[in-house]
Amino acid sequence: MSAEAIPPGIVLERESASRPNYLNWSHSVKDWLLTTDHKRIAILYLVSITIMFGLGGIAAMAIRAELTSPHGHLMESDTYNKMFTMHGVVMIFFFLVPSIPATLGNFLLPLMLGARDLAFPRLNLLSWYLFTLGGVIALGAMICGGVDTGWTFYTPYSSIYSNSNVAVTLVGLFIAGFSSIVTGINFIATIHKMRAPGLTWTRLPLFIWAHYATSIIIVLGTPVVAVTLGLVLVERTLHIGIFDPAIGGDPILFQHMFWFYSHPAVYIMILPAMGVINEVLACFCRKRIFGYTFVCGSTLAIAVFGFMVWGHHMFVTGQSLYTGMIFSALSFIVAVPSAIKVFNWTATIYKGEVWFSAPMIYCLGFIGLFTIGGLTGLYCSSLSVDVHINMTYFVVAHFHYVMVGGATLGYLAGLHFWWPKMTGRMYPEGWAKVAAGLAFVGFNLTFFPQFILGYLGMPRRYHYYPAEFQIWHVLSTAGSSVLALGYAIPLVYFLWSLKYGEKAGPNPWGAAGLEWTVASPPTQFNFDELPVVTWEAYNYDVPHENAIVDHSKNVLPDAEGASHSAH
Amino acid sequence: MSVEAAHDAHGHHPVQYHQFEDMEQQNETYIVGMWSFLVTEIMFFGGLFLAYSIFRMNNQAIFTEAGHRYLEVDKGAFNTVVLLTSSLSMAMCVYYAQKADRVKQLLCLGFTLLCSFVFLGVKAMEWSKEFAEHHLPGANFAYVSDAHLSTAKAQIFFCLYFAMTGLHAIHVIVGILLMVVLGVLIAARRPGVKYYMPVEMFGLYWHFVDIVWIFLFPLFYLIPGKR
Amino acid sequence: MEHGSHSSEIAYTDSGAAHITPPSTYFKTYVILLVLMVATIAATFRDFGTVGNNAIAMAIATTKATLVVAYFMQVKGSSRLTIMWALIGFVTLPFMWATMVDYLTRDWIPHIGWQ
Repeated sequence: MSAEAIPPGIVLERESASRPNYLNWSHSVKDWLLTTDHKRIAILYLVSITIMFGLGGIAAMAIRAELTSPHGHLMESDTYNKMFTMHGVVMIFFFLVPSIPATLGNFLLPLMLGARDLAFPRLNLLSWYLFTLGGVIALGAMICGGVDTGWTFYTPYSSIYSNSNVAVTLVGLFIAGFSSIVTGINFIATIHKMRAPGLTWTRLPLFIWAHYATSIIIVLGTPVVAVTLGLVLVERTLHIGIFDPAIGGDPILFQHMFWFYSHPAVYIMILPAMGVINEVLACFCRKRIFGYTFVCGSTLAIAVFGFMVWGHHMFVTGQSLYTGMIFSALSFIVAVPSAIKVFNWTATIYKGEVWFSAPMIYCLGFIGLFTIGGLTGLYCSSLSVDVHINMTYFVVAHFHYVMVGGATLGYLAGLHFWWPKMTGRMYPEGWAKVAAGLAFVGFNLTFFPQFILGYLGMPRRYHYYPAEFQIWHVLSTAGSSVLALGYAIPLVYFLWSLKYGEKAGPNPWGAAGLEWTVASPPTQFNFDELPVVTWEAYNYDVPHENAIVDHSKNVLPDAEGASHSAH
Repeated sequence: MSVEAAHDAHGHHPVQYHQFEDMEQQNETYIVGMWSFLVTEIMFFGGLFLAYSIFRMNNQAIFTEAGHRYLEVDKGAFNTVVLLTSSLSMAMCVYYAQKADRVKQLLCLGFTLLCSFVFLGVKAMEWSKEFAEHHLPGANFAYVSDAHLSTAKAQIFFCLYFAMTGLHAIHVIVGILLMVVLGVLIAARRPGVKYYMPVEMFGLYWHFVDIVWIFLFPLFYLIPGKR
Repeated sequence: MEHGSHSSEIAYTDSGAAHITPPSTYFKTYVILLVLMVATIAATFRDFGTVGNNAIAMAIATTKATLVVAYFMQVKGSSRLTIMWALIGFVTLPFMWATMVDYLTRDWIPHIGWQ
């Protein structure tokens, strides 16, 4: 292997287009379904979660349509219950949790680390099959009969009283949980052991740090929810359970164990999005991320504190008042590392050479919406305020600001940012800006009225409501149509770009990072020769062409190709 | 230098996978991966142990009575010895795998397999006794208390007992399946298991199953004492 | 330990084998484990109070688990990375016992004037 460091700034190859890449070296179905290439698995995941996102979105639209009228003309109460359960289950377990780690993370981790693949390629494939199997089982149960417990599966309703397909759905979720555990293990081993020579922890892109923290949460948290849902399953089918109050069990214990995972799970969803934001911001501000070490530290701090705050979901469900006080105080502490991140991002933009490309617009949307979502989280974590807003639309709006405004916009930012790398094609920039704007406007129109609704006292999960709330619900539904359009447009132009998009070249953004040094799309084993890293992450201080290296061909840099990004 | 050339220069090991640079890296990656899997197992059982300790704290008297009166310490102790012995033979199996001694490795693996069947056999005896005494939670559950304790929570004790020992037994069964597969592969001299890593991985899993039992035994059969 | 350390000079003919624990260590560990098992049973025939007996039983179980992790699972003498991942689960697990706070304080009466 190369003993000499590759100085940033030599070689840029021009002939990569003629070499077979990971997409076109083989076209057989078998080579796709039995692939162990992390990039192909990422594409498989991308297709799966897009389908899941579509289904969850359809359920969401049905809910919003139903809520335009205070008397619920469209569906029965039972159908409505099944609809919001499906929306929650699909969006959380089958879209948000795997979205960034399993697609972008899978694709980019080895590329960013300078590795040929993840540590365990076959486990990676297994993860996708588990995800698909779990998804098919859970979706089958939810479509053929439905589940009406809500995504939280609170006992004893879920374990004893509900007459819907709870058991089969739980089997599906149990299996899908193992898919995310497998991904987490794979990422941990990869990040520890597969880094290129010279790529020390302090030189890692923050995207990797975010995935490391996420993987730790997955590995520590997911088994707990798996065993909890397993217990509900056993209680429902074999009557061996510990949550049924009729035999002396404790339903509150279910909530403790459920939220021990499910609160950290929101960090599983948001941390990778934060990782994406770091990469995109640094690139489009042409600056190193402000306070790199603090961002690393806050990432890990969120992962650690995330495990200490689950009780704030239970302020009004019969847990001890004193526990509520402790959890309330601890929940405020989580705001600190989150705020550190937001301040670091704004400081990065400050005096940056800002380029308002589509990913950057998603990014800016993320920062604003995440800030609102995070700050309203402080309302919810105040013990006394929460007594008023618990189980209302205020909470619904709060977590949608974090999950949709945060995680989903982050996912879209990342998808746009790395789309040229994944497919070798550019998407139409103008349309992308329109879509990003629509998503931002539509999102706020959908969920801001819900803050007001919740404050006024509209409970969540109800579809009959007093007539004076109708105006807010109609506004929210109108916003959701705009938001849906904002999601549909990227789907169209991404598909379009596969065939008609402009060829991207290895580094269309002039970005730093090892993943931009290889061809777009990358070849099957990523690197012809493993890189030796001698530079810090986000080395935008040097002219950005110089960040581009490709060691497969010793061709001198081509000014035109490298400065595609001139703006 | 190309990837292949680099490998040739290193004396590329036959079971080294393409994504690794050398065997040292591959081995430690496997160990880290296996341990992070065991972390998930720890948390998996951890949820049940948490439930156990909460119910135990709130129902000390009936839990003590149910454990002391209906679970037999001698069988539990015997099973502990069996599992500890199986752990020893598994450790020896790893040792012989590292020494590349195929026959002794198979003997150790076979002995471990035998131990795991004995363990399950004893467990089955215990369970069938509980079934016969109507201790399986559900409609037919019945419980007689000597000390005239309220028996309402006795069912929870047996729920936890069956859930936790059942989950442990599932892990033993998975272990048995893996042992059979490993044994067949080693006996057939498959190249994948010529190297000691697969056996070492399985050994870690098996020792973990042992550790779970090390905690289950005192929690259900022994505490708090003064029998 | 770190990836950065691989220079091309290292030969891998001996398959990069890790440290091999001598069988005598395994047997010693086994004997100690058996002794500890007898000790934990013996302790239940003495009355140290509920808390005392439980603490003894759990202390012995933890010691046994530590021995298994350290010697049977060869964590002692491994790289710091392996040690870290061997410990992280056992260290995190007690966090869950914060749930106990809820059950211990549920019957407490709020201070007068708080209502």
